Amino acid sequence: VTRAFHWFLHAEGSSRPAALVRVGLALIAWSRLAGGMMPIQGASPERLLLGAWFYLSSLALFVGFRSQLAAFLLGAQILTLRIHYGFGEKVEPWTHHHIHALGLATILLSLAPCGRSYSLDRWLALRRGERPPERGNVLGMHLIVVLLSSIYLWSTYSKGTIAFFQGDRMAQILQTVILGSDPLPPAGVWAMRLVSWGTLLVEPFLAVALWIPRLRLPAVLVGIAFHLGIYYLLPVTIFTATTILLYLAALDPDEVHAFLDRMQQ
Amino acid sequence: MIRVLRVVVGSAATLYLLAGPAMPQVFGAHTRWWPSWRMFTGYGLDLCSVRFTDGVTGEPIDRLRALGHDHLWEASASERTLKDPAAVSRQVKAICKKQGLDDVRVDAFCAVERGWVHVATGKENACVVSTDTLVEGRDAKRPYRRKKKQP
Repeated sequence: VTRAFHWFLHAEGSSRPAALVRVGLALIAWSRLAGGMMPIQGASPERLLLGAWFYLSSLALFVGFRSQLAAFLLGAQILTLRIHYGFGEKVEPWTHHHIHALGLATILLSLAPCGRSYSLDRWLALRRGERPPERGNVLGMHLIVVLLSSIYLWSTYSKGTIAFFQGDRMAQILQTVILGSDPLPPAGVWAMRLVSWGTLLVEPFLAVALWIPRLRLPAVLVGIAFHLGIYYLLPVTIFTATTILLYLAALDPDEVHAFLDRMQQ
Repeated sequence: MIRVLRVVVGSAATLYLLAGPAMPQVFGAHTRWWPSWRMFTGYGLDLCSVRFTDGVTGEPIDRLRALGHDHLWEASASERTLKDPAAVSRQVKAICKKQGLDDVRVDAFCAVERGWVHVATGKENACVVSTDTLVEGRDAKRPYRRKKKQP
């Protein structure tokens, strides 16, 4: 337990996975939030300031300039959008869970060495004649995996109803999306039950398996398939891309580094 | 110093991320300050699952074919998916008119969070009755509670 605690808090690893997550999160933030931050959406000084905060911090995160600070600033803004504007000012789209996941992941990235690879920070250091190591404390990446586990565990908890277990909720969702109001045949009812039971097994499996080295890769592959399936059927917007991107935090950073080296040879 | 900071920040963040959702999801607190991972719990509830029958012959009616669609995907979303008893009633009346039917019976289950509510059992002729009568003494809106009888 002591070793695990020490590893969780103090382990060091390659900064490349954190850098890739950094670039990905900036792109996802742009795709979901940039439109709402344009002056055309509101030209009050407050909204202009909000837009400047968003565009500057997300651009800094994307190019890797003062990367950890940029991650903190962008994450803080996304959480502010949710807490203050979403709930306080009733901007409902900003209250959604995918916004919260994006904000939490971005702010947690500020605790990872996301600027030591693939970044303007690194390029500037190299120009100064320094050779900063592509390594650092990866607590932020571990916390991102905690976030993923929490999402899966509490999502399973929310599905712990008889209606979900019997397949009724899954049938209702799929009938709404595609199948329509005609009653499902018995085989369809059973298919809905199997999909529901599969979901109730997959989510807790992912929550745990992302922490177990031997199960990590299968978990990531199962998770990608699971999220792509949901993406195909439901309007989950950026949640799929965010989750799949965050799987990078679950992988051994040094293995990712070595893999990238092999790919670049 | 930095190690102590990591212990404090790492422990606090882990606690918030793992236990925080308990506040809204178990104890009912507002989700403003807490993470909550209840995805699509309210999705798919605007739906009634229906079976139409010719009240004279007892033959089942293929509702989309009766409206002139050969395939599911040819129907508009509002024809394919009936979101509430009022939509069911409207569609039945359209079918009655288009097919020249005098009596169509409806067996309808409408979605609620705990599963389905059997809102119509075919007692009424849906070609002529209103939505309120079609739902056989229930509210025509979710959660489709049975109305109290007047003394």
